[in-house]
Amino acid sequence: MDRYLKNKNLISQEEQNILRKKKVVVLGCGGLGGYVIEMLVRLGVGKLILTDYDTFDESNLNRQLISEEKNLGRSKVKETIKRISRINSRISVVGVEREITEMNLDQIIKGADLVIDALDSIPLKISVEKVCSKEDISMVHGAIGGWIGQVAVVRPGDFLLKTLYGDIKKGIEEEMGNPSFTPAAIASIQVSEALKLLLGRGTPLNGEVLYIDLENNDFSKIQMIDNSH
Amino acid sequence: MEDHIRIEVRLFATLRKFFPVETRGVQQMDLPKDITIEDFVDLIGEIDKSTLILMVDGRREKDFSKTLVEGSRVALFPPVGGG
Repeated sequence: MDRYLKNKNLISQEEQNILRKKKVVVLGCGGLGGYVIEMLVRLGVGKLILTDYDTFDESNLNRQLISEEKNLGRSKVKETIKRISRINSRISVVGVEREITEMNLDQIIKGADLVIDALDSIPLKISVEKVCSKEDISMVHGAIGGWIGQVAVVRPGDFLLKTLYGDIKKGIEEEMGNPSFTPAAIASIQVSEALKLLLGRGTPLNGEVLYIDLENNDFSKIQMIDNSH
Repeated sequence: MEDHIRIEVRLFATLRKFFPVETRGVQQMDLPKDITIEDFVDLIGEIDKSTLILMVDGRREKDFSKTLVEGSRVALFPPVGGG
């Protein structure tokens, strides 16, 4: 399998086989989602479920990997699936082109090994945390705004995002916007956390938020929940 | 000074602008005893408290009417929620 030749010293053949059988849900095919999906596909994760109800528009071109001048106005999910099939036609992909809510999410994530949060709404992120906990599925959270981004691994029962955000509905992205490099950086860390969880390797984040300020090169781990027991 | 407390304040990201650049967002502050979190935040600068993540001694604090005590370590973050 020459495709994964360059993964070899990092991911063994046995682990590559494990990844091929894993099912990962990526919520959102925008800034974070586009990069997350690209990296999961190239890693060889075998089954993907993608959600997004939106279409690409011109303001996506500054950062969203799948957006191109030629596909503006088209479905984000459909365009993402096209790209995946051009990279690795063996990956099984299911696209969900509707708005996700606390009410329909359980059906979408049921049976998944992992959920990746690439959503752009704080209340929705908190709802996803709740449903993931109910379905006993871990979630890799990511969020971005301007030069800042954060990553967390939320285990069932942690309710880390509810603790972190509380009643806050909007972050600094409303004011700062999102450039090209912050989603790519945060998505990369989300995928490396996802890989560790899928393979049971390394030391994933645990009860903490990795808060990254690229403007000042400050990487801080903020302990939110004591998971040391 | 018995009528004052000393606390450590750490400002993150966009909030760092409220401290001199050379502090890199970290400063010891002497404050009046029994100062509330609300008054402390106002003292730092014009910060929208409805969109502020504030931690005291490693715990998320949402009740800004609470008072700070000698030796408290306070961290202030702007939230991010984009995707």
